[in-house]
Amino acid sequence: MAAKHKADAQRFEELVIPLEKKVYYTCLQLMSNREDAEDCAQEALLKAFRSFHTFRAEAQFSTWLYTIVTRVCVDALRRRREIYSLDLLREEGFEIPSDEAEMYLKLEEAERKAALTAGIQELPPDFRAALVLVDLQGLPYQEAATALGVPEGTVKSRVSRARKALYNILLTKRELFPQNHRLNGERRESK
Amino acid sequence: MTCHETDFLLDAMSQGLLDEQQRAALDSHLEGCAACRFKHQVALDARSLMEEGEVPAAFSSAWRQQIRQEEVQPVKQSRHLIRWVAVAAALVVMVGGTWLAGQDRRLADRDSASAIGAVYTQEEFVGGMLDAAAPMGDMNLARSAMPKEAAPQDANQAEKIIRTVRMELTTRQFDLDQAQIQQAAEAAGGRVQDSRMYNNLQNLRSLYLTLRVPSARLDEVVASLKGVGRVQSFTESAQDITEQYADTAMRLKTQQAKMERLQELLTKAESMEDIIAIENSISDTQYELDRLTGSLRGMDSKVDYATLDITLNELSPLDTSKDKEETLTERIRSGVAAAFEEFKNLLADFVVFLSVALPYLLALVVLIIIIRLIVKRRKTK
Repeated sequence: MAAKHKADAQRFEELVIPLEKKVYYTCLQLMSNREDAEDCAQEALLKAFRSFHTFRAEAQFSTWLYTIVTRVCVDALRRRREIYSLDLLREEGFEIPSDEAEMYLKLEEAERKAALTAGIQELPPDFRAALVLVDLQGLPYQEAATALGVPEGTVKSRVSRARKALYNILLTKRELFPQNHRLNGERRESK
Repeated sequence: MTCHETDFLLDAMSQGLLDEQQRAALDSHLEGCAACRFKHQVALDARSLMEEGEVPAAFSSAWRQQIRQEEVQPVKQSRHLIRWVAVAAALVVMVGGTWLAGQDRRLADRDSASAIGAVYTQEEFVGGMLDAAAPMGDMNLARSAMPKEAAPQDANQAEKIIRTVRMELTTRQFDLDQAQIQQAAEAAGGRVQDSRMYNNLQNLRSLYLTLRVPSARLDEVVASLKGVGRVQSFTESAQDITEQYADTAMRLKTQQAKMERLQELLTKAESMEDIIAIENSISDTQYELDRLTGSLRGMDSKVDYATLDITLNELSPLDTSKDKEETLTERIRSGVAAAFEEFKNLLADFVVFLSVALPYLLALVVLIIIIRLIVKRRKTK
């Protein structure tokens, strides 16, 4: 028994190692803070190991693992009971003002990333999960759909709405930017 | 190319599905469109969010350690099953035990009820009341018990009518109603002649009462029983024995006259043979006199004391059918009270079972602990 367990643990570890970073950063992007991210990632890996015997070799291990990871994170997010603004998720298109867009492009890379990370946190759990899996992790829609347990079409629509909401946040919620004073100053100068 | 088309290309790019031609088309559009350049930049930034930084070492070692410590899965699964089986077994034992404990209580109830029945079944036949040929002493006893107002009417006056009333009642308040019936009979100067009680299979009681009540107050008693139980059947009969009574009275008179004459003759008799013949005749006449007197008194008793036969059947407390003139609230109240009573009994049964089973349960718990310890030790080896 013990020997079998050891073999299982070893095999599981081998499969997880190449995905470890992705698992951790997926959790980090979803949970928005390191503590929660570590907790969720650990819980997800433990859960995965506990049901490792149900994993069928024909399925892709990464998809199977992401399914568990996203589920753990989304559940944890839902438990937070935070209130998300659904205004941002309207289906109709959001016109991107060129001025504001240019301003984002002028930001330094670190600033853009900080704003992006902050913007993602504004999205409701299901939309955040879809965006993180597709746009951040680069999963094909089909795999993301499997991981989220929803049809592919649903993932596509969620990603599309999440993107629009994110654009909206990045361009209108100035307080998210680390140095909004400088930004405002720049704008004043340009006038 | 429009911005809308660019959205498709950007989407394809995020999926890694962009070919050379599309790439070029996208680039040329981006040059002239700040909005799309912005979207493109966001897509690139999003992707790069995942590509930097290291995994914290603490996390990396923590999950590895956790997995190694984790127990082997199949055991977990069978443990799950064992847990359910254990819960089911515990439930079966508890329900079964409670039922068994309740069985004891139900049997005990029935025994005590039939014991009560046995007390009542000692039939109190009022001597001579029914038997015309009964000895005079008993008759007098019966008479002395009769109240003044119910004193027998003179033999040759009025009609002689034997009244009998038969009632069948159902009740939920068995004890209360039983007491009320007896009280009503006694208040009117009546008495219990016969009382039998039985328990049926549902532990419900049936009481068969034969009461003797002064005829003059029979209607009063029947009226006073109106609030007792619910009347299932009611029959009343009146047997006119006036003629029969007059006939007997006449024969008694004749025999008395005959007796007087015989006594007279006896004083005048001279020969021994005459005396013996007259004595024989006297004794025959005396027998006839006694028989007729007894018969008259028996009739008097039946006329003076009407018979009231009552059957009182207990209704199940959970039987929600209508009992007497209950209002809805009364029915609800009695239903709730009965359910509560049942629940209390059930709880009591459960407690009884627990206390009875306690030593066995404790032994079982100890056994389980020992087994678990052994299993654990074997695992750690």
